[in-house]
This record gives sequence, structure tokens and C-alpha cells, in this order.
Amino acid sequence: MLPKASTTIGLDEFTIFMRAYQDMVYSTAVRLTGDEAEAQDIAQEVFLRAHRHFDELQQSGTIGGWLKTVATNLALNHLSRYRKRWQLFSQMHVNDDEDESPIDVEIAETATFELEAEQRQRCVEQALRALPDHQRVPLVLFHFEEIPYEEIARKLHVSLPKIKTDIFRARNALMKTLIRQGVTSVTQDL
Amino acid sequence: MNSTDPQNVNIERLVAQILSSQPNSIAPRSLEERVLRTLRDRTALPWWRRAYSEWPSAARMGFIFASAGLVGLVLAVAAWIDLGTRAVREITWLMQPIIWGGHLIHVASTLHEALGATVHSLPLQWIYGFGVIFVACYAMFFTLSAAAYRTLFVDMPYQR
Repeated sequence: MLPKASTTIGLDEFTIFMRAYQDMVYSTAVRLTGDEAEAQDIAQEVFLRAHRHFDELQQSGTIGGWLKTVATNLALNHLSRYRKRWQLFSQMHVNDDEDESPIDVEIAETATFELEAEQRQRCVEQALRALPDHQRVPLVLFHFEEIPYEEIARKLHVSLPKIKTDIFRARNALMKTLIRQGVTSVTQDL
Repeated sequence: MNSTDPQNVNIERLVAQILSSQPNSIAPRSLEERVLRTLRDRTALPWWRRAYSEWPSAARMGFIFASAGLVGLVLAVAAWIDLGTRAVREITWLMQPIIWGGHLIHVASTLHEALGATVHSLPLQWIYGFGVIFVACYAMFFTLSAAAYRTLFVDMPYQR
């Protein structure tokens, strides 16, 4: 006898479910991988797994959290698999393209957005994708997934000080890009 | 890096504010189509081409028994190669229902003898020589791959 999920769930019901969550799943994947095609593959795998456990998911009441966790784990697995394959070679690569200079303007305490919401969203997404993986991934896990530093360090198998440094540099790099693009103001609020 | 510096505190607060106000990206239309197409394709597959977890219970049990039998067969063949003819006779008798027949044993026995004769006829220096050549080839291909990687791939994913 086949498991219930594959026999009794109508695709119409699952389509409604997918439409409700696909943006969230896709966003999680694309922010972590920084690549739209890879994010689609990951999102597809998330929904195929969701279909397998659809009955349990509908009863659990934590569908969103489950989908987000699976998307995050799959994206990290994807990155770490790729990283491990090339780790030895990538260590030979001298990382000399990181901008270490401090932000030389006064940063406002609260953000004043200069652009329209849609344009701002696009700029922020682009700025995120422009970050190197080792900065973007911990930044996304910290700010979007709200995972604490220690947990991020454990997930990525990286030391805690390195994670803090990467996130710190990622924030600086992101701010510089956003200031340059005029997404947010830079003057101190009075 | 100073996390208590007011400038850094402001940057952290501002980035958090900007990112938390960021709405989800719109998933491409093709995602839904891809998932549904895959699900339809999977539904149309016969049970034996689906994931193991979706197999009927009887088939799953049968697969476990068949796998155990195969493992037994492999162990028996390995033991036979290792222990010699006497052990083979005993194990063959034990594995009689699984092993197809004497011709399989004959073929394996011939291969075993041929391989043994070849290894024993080689001078020790040749074996060391093969080892050195193998290591040299490995080092050469590794160096070439590293050079090609550095040349062709500038931007590394998740450098650490």
C-alpha cells in the first residue's frame, strides 16, 4: 500500500498550498544562494518534500517554520557541498577584493528611505547578492532567519569570532552599496 | 572591529531595519509548473521506480531480504577468494540456494589463479615502480587541476 501523501492529496489542494508559501521559500533560498536558478531547484525540492509530508504538515500548524527550515538547510547543504568540493583550491585563492575601509559618513540612527518601495527592494536584493558567499550567508541567517551567532557558527562549521567578523563586514559592505545607490540617507537625525 | 562603537551600532540597527522591511521576492511562475509536473510524473511512475519510502510494504520487505541475500553472496565470494577452496566448499554448501552454480565458481577460480600468478611473477621493483608512477601521475593531475581552477574560476563560492 502506498503512503497516504502520494495517493490521496489532490494536486489542486497542493497548488493552493504552494501559492501561499512559494514566495517565502524562494526568497529564503535565493537570499542564501544568491542565484535564481539554484534557488528554484532548492524551492522545488522543498515542495516535493512538503508533498510527501503534506498530511502531517497540515495538522502541525507550523508549516511556515518547517518550510523555512527545510529551505535553509537545503541551501546550506548545497553551498557546503559545493564548498567542500572546491575547498582545497579555493584556499589557494587570495581574497584581496574585500573593501576594509570604514564608512566615512555619519550613519543615521533610523533609516530614511529615499527610493520607492519596489525600487528599494530591488536595490537591497542586488546589494545582498553582490556580497561574497562567506559574508552573505551568515548575514542572511542572522537578519532574515534570526539565528543567533553561535548557532550560525555551528551550522557553517566556522569559529564564532570569524562569523562575527564576516557579519560585521557584510553590514558595512551592504551599507556602502545602499548609500552609494541612494537607498537610505546618511546624515545623523537630530 | 568594535561592536560598541556608536557608528557600528547604528549600522547594525540600520541594516536590521532595512532587511526586516524587505518583502519576499516573487517566485517565478515556472516554479509552480516544475513542481506540479514533477509530482504528476511521479504519480504516473510504477511503484518500483518511485522512492523506496513509497514502495508497498511487501516489496520493501522483499528488497531487504534480497539485499541480505546479496550481501551474503558477496561475503561468501570474498571469503572464498580469501580462504581458499576448502572454505569455498563449506560456504558454497551454505549458500547453495543463492549461488547459481558451479560455472560461476569456476570462472572466479580461474580469475583468482590468473591474478595470483601475475602478482607473484612480478619483481618487487616493478611493484614499487608502479606505486611511484601512480603517485607522480596523481600529483601531476592534481597540480594541473589546481592551475586550471585558478585560471578558469576567479570567483569562488563560499570561500573559507
